[in-house]
Amino acid sequence: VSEPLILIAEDDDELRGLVVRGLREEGFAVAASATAAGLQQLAERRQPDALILDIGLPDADGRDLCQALRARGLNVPVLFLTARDALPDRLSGFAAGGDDYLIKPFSFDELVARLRAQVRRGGPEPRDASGLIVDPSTHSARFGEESVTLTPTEYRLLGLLVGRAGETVRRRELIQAGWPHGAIVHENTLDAYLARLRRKLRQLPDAPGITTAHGVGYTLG
Amino acid sequence: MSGRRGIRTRLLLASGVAVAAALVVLVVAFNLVLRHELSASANDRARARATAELSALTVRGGSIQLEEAPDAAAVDVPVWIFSGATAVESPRVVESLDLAAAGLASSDGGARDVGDTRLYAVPVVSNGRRLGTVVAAVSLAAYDDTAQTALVGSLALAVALLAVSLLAARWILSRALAPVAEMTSAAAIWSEHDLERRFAAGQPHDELGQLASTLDGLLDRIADALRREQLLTAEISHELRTPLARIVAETDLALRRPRDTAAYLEALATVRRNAEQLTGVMDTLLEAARTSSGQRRGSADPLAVADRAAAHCRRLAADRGIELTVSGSAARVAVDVDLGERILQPLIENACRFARTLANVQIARNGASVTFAVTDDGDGVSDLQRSSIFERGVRGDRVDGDSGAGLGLALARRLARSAGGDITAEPGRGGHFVVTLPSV
Repeated sequence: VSEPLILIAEDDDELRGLVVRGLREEGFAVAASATAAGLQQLAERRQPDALILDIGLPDADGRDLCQALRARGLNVPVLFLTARDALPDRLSGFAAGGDDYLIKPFSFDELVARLRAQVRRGGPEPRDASGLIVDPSTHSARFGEESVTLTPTEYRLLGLLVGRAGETVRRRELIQAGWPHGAIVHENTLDAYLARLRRKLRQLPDAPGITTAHGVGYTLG
Repeated sequence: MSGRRGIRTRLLLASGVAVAAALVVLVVAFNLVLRHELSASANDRARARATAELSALTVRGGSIQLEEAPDAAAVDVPVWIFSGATAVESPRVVESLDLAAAGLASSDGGARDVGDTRLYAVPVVSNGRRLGTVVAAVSLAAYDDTAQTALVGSLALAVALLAVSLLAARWILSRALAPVAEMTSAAAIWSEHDLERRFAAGQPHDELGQLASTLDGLLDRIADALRREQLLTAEISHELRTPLARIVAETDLALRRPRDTAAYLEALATVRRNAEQLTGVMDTLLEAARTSSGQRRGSADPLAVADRAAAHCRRLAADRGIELTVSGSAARVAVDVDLGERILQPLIENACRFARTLANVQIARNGASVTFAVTDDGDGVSDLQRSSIFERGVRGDRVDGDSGAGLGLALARRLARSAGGDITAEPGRGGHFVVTLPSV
């Protein structure tokens, strides 16, 4: 049995070093990066078994990074490891596609236990990516050579749709992904955002479009 | 008492008083004019009767001759005819009227009221000589009745008009004030539950539009303040939790299995270093609290402040091959060296981290304040980043072994603001931050 591969994005050098060292002692294979871009490169090189992401990365928000990885078809468990302990932060972590959330300072034993549980259960099979790439650092969407820039909210909505391409995503889930917990979002606000996203996607030749499932939600592709 | 009445009641009262005053003037004027007209009409009638009688008289030899007696029964207007002061003809109605008629006959003529009867005298003149007088009497009862009815009627109409105008005013007022009440309650609800909502009424063109834009402005400010508070809390939380997380992770790891002495020593060194960093963060937070509550006063030479802050970053600069310079000078700043150092250091660290070859601190005087421009030749800050740089993960990277507070930019700005200054990110090529501090 080969060692499960864990990828870590954590900008604090010292803490990253500690986690890498500790997880290796626990029998994991570990690769780590201080930036979102670095982690994306690592994830392209080898399929990991789980990810540990910090939210406050220097070049992107860890939640945006999670969505971007999901959009590429990476479906493995994601554990957020962050100093942000407020309820809206934790909920937005899950809304962005996270599977677990651990707040710093954390017990190393708990981190290992949660990671083992996630790896043991494993993720579903990798999805077929839609071909749409979302970039967490620039908040843009790319298809082939063309790209469009998105607002942070548009990014989060499109990220969720792309991460679950072909599946109808419920309106409620889109609202949870797009706006902070507790915000009052009116139904037509969501529709207006989706209409804008549609227009932007049309600027990308051959990119999949967004279809409406009336009263239920939206589907990409 | 009046201060506690609602604006609606006060406006209603004011409009009621105005309408009532106008109605009183109208009613009084109408009745005065009517009475005058009625009096003139009574005079006309009496004069017409007297004139008719006058034409039936013949003057013979300087005295009045009565051809035929006036038909007292056929005419409801009694007539007296005097030749000189002697009554030639008298209807013999009431004695008081006879006396009054005689009185008029001896005067120049004209009108006189006796009870509800009006007497009207017309002189009989022949060849320029006054020979006598014809006096006619009309009853004023009918005219008085008319005046009375008109008075009552006009008063009733005035009261009805007042009532209708008050009702109309109340309706208009509640219609006009309803949007104000709606906006007030909407703003109250939004400020508590939904700080993103705005009236967004566009360019204000009336009082309601102005109220909407004022409320929008207030909501903006509340939302900003709340967001700043949340950012600061997140920032403080990050600053405190990161070193704590290192300590906990390091000790957890060290205790998981037996290690050699070198590993324990390394773990203890990590704990010690991070405990120092925590102390620094806490000192800064306390500093900010004391400064903003005015407990702390002091002054420092800006060059000394910049030098001390830069000294903490020398190692980082040397490691990255950055030339770090401090230039310029200015009058003393109104913060002590420690505080100034805490404010400036994260910016210099940031510059050293993102510079390609050069990082500079330029001190200058700007009116009543001193500015420290921290620049580097790195990629700089984009317009988009400039607004968010104080909230995102752009933080001075800690230098191992350095006990500097290593504050994030948000905390540094908080500190600067509590000392009466500020930190701003400037546009342009390369990183460019300006710290402003008040001078002494």
